[in-house]
Amino acid sequence: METLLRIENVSMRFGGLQALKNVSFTVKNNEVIGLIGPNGAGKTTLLNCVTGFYKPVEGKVFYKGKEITGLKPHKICQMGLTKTFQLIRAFKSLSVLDNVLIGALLKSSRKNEAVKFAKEVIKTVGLEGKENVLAGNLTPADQRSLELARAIATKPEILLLDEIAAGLTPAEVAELVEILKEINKKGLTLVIVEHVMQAIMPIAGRIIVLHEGRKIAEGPPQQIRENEKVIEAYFGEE
Amino acid sequence: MNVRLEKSAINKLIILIILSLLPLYPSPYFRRTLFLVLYFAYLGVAWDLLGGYTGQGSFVHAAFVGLGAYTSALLFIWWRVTPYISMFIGALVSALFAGLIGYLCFRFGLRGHFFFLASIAFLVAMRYSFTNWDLVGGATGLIIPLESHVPWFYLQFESKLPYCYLMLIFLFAEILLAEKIVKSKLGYYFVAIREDELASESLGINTLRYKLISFVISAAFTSLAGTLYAFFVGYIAPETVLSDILTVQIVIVAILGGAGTIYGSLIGAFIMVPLMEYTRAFLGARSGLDLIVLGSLIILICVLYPHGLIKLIGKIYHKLPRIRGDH
Ligand SMILES: Nc1ncnc2c1ncn2[C@@H]1O[C@H](COP(=O)(O)OP(=O)(O)OP(=O)(O)O)[C@@H](O)[C@H]1O
Ligand SMILES: [Mg+2]
Repeated sequence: METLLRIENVSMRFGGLQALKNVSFTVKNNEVIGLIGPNGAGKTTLLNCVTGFYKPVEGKVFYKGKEITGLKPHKICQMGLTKTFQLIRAFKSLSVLDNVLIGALLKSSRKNEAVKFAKEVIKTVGLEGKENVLAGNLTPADQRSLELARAIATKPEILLLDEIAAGLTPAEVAELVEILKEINKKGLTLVIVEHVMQAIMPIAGRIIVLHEGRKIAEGPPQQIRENEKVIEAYFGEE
Repeated sequence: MNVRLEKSAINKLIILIILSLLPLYPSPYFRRTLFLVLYFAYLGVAWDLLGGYTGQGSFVHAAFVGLGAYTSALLFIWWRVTPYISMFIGALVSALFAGLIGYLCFRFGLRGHFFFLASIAFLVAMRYSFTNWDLVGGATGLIIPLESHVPWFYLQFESKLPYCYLMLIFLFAEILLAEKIVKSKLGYYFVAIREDELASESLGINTLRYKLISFVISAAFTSLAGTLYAFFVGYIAPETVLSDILTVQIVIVAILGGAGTIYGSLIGAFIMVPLMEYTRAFLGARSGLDLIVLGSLIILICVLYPHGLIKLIGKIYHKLPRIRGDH
């Protein structure tokens, strides 16, 4: 399998705070990676370093063999790599369709085409029938689906999802997992950040665990579940 | 979809017919006021593209009126260049200036209120340099000499009537263009930037580039009206075409009617200009009282109708073409 994303010794500091320390891993084509870790582990910071929202103080990020460290987020998105936000950032005063359309306009040159594609994507994430609802009037769960749809509409090859299951009911989580499996089957590579291990286990082929800015474990879900360091990171301080 | 398209076309036609009948009322004072209404509506629409759609409220816009006015006036005085041509040179100058200050501001992350503040500085700097620059007439400004030989070719008419129609043509052309822009990819990207810049970046939108495009388009449109205004009044000075009050008036027109709506500026101008004229006539321009009355009214309207007066006319509003859910 072809390597899509390679993260090499990435470190990030905020003032005196070491948010990431020498994190490295690779993501192969069509994989589903789970990125987990307790609060403040550095998961969001890592996604921001990969997608260009932060420039890492050390280390490099390669996408399809090309270095993308320090490129602007829009540039990286145009290359096929984007993320969703942990705190929802839907365009609240625009309709669901317009939200997704704005994403779709990136790769479809004609508006008709983009509208058609946007409607397809809206269906994929289960928001059909709500095309004309203002994003700000959606439930938080639907707003998360909308953000997912908007990102998918840019036709990425690899999508980084930051806690999109947060605040969902177990039934909604199950539904979301089905949607993610579906889009992965269509060829989209996923890196899923989850705080809650249960949400990620049924779908991830490989799991990476961050703790206090360092990668402390990596492997298949079964192995991670029994890993002592991980158990300690999650429960040790209690 | 077709029905909807037809409806908006009919609405537009009705507005156009009404507006083209108005200048026929044979009063020079009325025509002068009408010209100013159309002129400010036009400026409001131009400002709205940047301020209302792209969400980058600008205070520098009077500078583009000034650049248009000065470029055309000077080219006429020096070499008798017809304003029909020089207005586009002025627009180019304004576009370049907008590109420069836009780059300086946006490149370094000035947005929202900070961009607004920085843009004040550019306008003030420009006004003072023109005031102290003899080549462009300094503080006294420029008088556009009357041209006896084919005056219409130099945008000089005895009656105010042709000016009204010319301004009306420009306003309508601008509205049609603005609507096209707003419904295109460009317009969607403008609105996305207004809504959330980080989210826009994550969707592949080069926010710096699209903010600059919006600024440049808005400046070029604004500049064209500067040329028309200069030949309409025949006299320009930093105090009139480069003044902070002019910018305030443009912003009022755009916001009063409803920012991000295009047609709102038409409503805004129809309210602000007559009000301005009457308060000035009754209270005197020097006292500043006219501005106080205007300011109070604006505060009142903003408090009562924060989304602009256009929402008042709900029925019409829903038939007007606009970006939201309009495919
Ligand atoms: N922009 C920032 N400025 C300063 N400190 C930051 C910034 N972003 C994150 N941090 C700090 O870096 C550390 C890692 O934060 P990060 O948000 O990456 O963690 P996380 O794993 O996503 O946590 P959570 O599960 O709560 O989302 C935290 O201590 C956080 O306070
Ligand atoms: Mg986080």
